[in-house]
Amino acid sequence: MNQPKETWGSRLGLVLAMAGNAVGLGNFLRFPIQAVQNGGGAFILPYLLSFILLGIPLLFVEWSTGRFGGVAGFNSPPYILQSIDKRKIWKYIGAVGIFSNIAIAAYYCYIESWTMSYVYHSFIGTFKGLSETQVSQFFDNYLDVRYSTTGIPFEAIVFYIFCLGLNVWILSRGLQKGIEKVAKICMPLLILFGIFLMIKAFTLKAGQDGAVYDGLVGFNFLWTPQFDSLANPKVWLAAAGQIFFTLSLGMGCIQCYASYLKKNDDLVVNSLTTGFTNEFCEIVIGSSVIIPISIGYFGIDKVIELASFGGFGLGFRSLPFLFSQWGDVMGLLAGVAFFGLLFFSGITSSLAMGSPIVAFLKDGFNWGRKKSSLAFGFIILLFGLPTVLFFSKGVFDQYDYWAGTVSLVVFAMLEIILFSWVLGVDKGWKLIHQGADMQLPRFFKFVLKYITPTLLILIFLSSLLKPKNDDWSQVSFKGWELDNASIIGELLHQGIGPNHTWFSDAFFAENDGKVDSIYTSNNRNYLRVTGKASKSYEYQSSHNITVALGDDIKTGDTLFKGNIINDVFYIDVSRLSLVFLLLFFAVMIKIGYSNIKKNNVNVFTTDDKQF
Amino acid sequence: MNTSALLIMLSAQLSVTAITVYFFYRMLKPKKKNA
Repeated sequence: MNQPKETWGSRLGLVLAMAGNAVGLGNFLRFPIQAVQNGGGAFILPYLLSFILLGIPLLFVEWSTGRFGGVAGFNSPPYILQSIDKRKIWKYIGAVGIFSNIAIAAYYCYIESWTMSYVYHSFIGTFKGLSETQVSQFFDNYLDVRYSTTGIPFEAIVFYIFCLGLNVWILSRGLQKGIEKVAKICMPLLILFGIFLMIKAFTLKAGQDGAVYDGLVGFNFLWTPQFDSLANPKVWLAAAGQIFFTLSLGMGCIQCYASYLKKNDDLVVNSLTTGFTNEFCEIVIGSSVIIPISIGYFGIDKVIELASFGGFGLGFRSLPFLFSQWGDVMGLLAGVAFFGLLFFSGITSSLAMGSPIVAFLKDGFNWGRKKSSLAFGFIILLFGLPTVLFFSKGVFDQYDYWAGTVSLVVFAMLEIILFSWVLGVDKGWKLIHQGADMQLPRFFKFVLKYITPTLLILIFLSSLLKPKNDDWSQVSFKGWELDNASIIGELLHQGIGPNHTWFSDAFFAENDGKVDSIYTSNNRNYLRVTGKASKSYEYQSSHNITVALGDDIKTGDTLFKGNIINDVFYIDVSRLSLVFLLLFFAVMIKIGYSNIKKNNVNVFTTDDKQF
Repeated sequence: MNTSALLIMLSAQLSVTAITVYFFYRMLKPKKKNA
């Protein structure tokens, strides 16, 4: 470990970088949808309780363990955890802190490239004059990598590689000249753009610029409390989940950033500033943009329907159309501001995701920043291209589920056990308060030891055994039907339907209805079956359709024959590649550990002097 | 806007803003040097 030790240039730079890590697309696209679907204004109660009992304690844990590892000479999660407890298992648990960042960054950088592309398209006026359907179709075309909207072939891939290259370049410039500098530019601009859009949303008037309702109708809808929803465990779990993901907990990035602190640098005020900055971006700005503006044009019922498909739909399919109603100048400014805000929030987060692997290669192999940053870019491209090329096959969803959801909860659960029970909450409390600019209420010591670990275990168990349709009234000692999206349900491919083999010579219908359309769109062939729900099935020109227009179809009926690769193949290969990635890092950690021990045999003995 | 929605929105947004500004102030305030 003979490279010069990096440190943050200023306290403001550190806090803005940490805030940038936390503030992401979810603040603006996920939170408002969660609030609308989970009790409106009443959601703020479980949300703020989760912030106090889960969010803030985990921030203290991650900041303090990160700083501890940094003082011991390590900046990457595996060796940070190993420096806290000498049992060998901890460095392998730390592998999750590298794995989850790589797997998430693989698809996150892709979404970031969408925002970059949409800034460009907003600026050149692509959405001017397009209808709502055409704007939505633009998004589908963009995701179809064979399609080009600007004449650039494989446009989505070009933007993706450019975005990734930007991340690599910034990471290679180091902490102060790269990450910190970007944070100091992007975070203030993000807040400025957010305030501009908030003002537009508040001042939206029915009858002006094509708006049907006042912007206040949307605010009213989002913030009107439905207190009876508080009796539903689903709402509390949604709140805890939102806090967890919005603060970027359980990933290892916070530990990595905090490891560049000095031993007596404050972390209490710093971490609280970061946490509340994230909450400002979420509760103040995030709640004030997509929902009020969308309701101003579409009304409540339609927005509820659109929101059920997630925030991406509203953000990328609807808002560009709505902004274009504001005229050439204001429409351009709004589009650039909104997608620029999303881009800034995205890039500050993806830089944080790249930091643990860069630090790991330095810790274990003495690689310099430039080489490590290039390695990050290469691994992301390798794992990210399948999410680009096979987006519609479920690869993206698998990465998001296993790396972006499950592994985060598991890692957070283990790190709080390490902090509160293995290291011990007394030592942990001293660690938090080293150099602190304020004393925490002792209540947090009790929360760290008992409440936060219990909440995390409950969150994990609820994800493992989620009841069908999130209906917690089913849960009883007699057992219950699992939801397809529960961890066990996912592992067992529950609900996969009749096309459950990797390869087949026939494709079977997955819904009941009537064949009402056989059509071609963007050079792809589709067959649509419409019943209670409508489902379009893509087939190749080499396949033989065995049904005709108007045929009645039951689930399991053959629709077309030929050489068929089912989505379950892509799903299983994605899962296997994630397992391979995790095992690969475990092996790398072992080799890195041997390298470190060769240089300094005693480096991993527990240093009680830090307490 | 109905009263309950307005109250909840204002109290949540204003308190988060105030606390954020407070912590930024504390963070940026120069530390007193011990004699």
